[in-house]
Amino acid sequence: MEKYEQLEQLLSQALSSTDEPSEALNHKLKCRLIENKSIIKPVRKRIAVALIAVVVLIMSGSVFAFWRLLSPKQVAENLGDETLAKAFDSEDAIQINKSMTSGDFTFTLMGITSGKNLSDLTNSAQDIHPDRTYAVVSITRKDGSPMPEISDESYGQTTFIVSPLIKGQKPWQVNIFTMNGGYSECIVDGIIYRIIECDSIEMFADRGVYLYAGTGSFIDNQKVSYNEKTGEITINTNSKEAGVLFDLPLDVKKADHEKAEKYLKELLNPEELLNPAPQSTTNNEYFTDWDDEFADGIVIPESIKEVTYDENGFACYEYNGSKVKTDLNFLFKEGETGIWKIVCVNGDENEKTVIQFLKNESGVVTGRTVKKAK
Amino acid sequence: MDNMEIDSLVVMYGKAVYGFCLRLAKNKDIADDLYQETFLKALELSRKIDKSNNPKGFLISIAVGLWKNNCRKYARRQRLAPEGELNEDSASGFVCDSSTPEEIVIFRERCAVIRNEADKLNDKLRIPLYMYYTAEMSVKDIASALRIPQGTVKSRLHKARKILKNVLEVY
Repeated sequence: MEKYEQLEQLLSQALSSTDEPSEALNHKLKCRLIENKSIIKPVRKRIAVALIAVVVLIMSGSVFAFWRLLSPKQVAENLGDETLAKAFDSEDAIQINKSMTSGDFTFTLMGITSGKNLSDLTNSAQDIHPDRTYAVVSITRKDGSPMPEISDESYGQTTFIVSPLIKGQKPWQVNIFTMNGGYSECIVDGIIYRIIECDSIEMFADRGVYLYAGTGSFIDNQKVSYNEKTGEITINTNSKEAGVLFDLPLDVKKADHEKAEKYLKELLNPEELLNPAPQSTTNNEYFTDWDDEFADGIVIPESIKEVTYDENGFACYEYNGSKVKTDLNFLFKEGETGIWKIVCVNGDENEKTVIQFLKNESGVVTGRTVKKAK
Repeated sequence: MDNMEIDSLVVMYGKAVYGFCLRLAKNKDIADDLYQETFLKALELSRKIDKSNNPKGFLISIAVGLWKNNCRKYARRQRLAPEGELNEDSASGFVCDSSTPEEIVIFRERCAVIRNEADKLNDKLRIPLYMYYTAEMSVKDIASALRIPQGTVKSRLHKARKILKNVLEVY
């Protein structure tokens, strides 16, 4: 049979691709890129200037900061989405205008609306879930200095993430990324206005829905904490990122428990849809190969030690030059203790070792290295 | 990032991204869609593209993210309108050192077997496999793009190779 090099060569040639995108496809792509760039960019100061001019005359200093902000309708107009602007102006939209400060930033949840066909900008995810939720959040600096304009070089040096989170669901599993989300953003007079959209969250109204806003690019356990028992989500007080959590005042009557359960099932197990059951079973067998192979493996006694944690909360283990760093949330299921789980496999065909982690009932995680029995 | 820069990304990495999308999607229409969505998302995140810091890996990681996030959409599309499989004969222009026509035929058949079996793998194995062999990314870059340890990438590649090797042995 194939030697390693031959297999490598065969795989390289079999799996490499000589296909190229057609000229027509690239032309279409470039048109869409230009179109999208023009949608993202608009910054219309005229509306804001006029608004501030009026506000300065009639508002007291204490509420001035709040009234400086555009309305959700104006934000949607600024981003060229007239349909969404009308939706934010309708009775179904919820005006919130609640501000919270964290770190150097003040985040204001301005408004939220949900429904079908509420935006001029179509999203392919709407084919599956036509009901969408849109929320407007503004971000300002606590010290009042302006946020950089899109054209400034410093724009984007600080990234922001705004995401709905569902009570009872792990934030790193159910968030704007997994809920087919996206956002548009504009900057008016030094204030960032971001419209986020995702699959409708109204079906979760009876469970409790949050909106997280903060610095960074992802939702992880460094930013928020999840209580496995109560399902409560809270800001991680040890987080180095700025972050706030708003409770969304959704209409409980619009909750749909059955629909929500079905949605979550699809979201948390997407492979079930793509791979029919027999296929999944087959693949699961592949994944348990290593457990079988090392079932009678030889534990290296001196390799057993408690794992350490890096600044991101990843569990770190090193023995004899083999290092591994992993997120324990993906390794252990809820309440799973007392089982050695394989984290990685090292070595070659002749001599292989695996690194295993075990979590005890106190939550202490220990690592060890296991040699394959000869 | 202006349109010129995005254009240059399309020129430089379009082929690699498209080949990866096509391999992953196994369907030209879905691959075309995924390819476009990848660059549109890249435009949205363009401030994060650092040319000196592996833009190809960045683009491929976007494609993977979109693929995972859109599993439902693609599954639905396949249920509603089953689409033709990618024609591998037209998609492949492989050359080999084999000198006789028989050897070339055998080689091509083996390649076809590998592609078919690779397509059947779970995404956890299939995606790193295509990132490594189709997109020609290093283990380090794959680990970075998928946000998993390098050891896990090696382990998954090893599992995938082992499965494909076993299939070839039977063949």
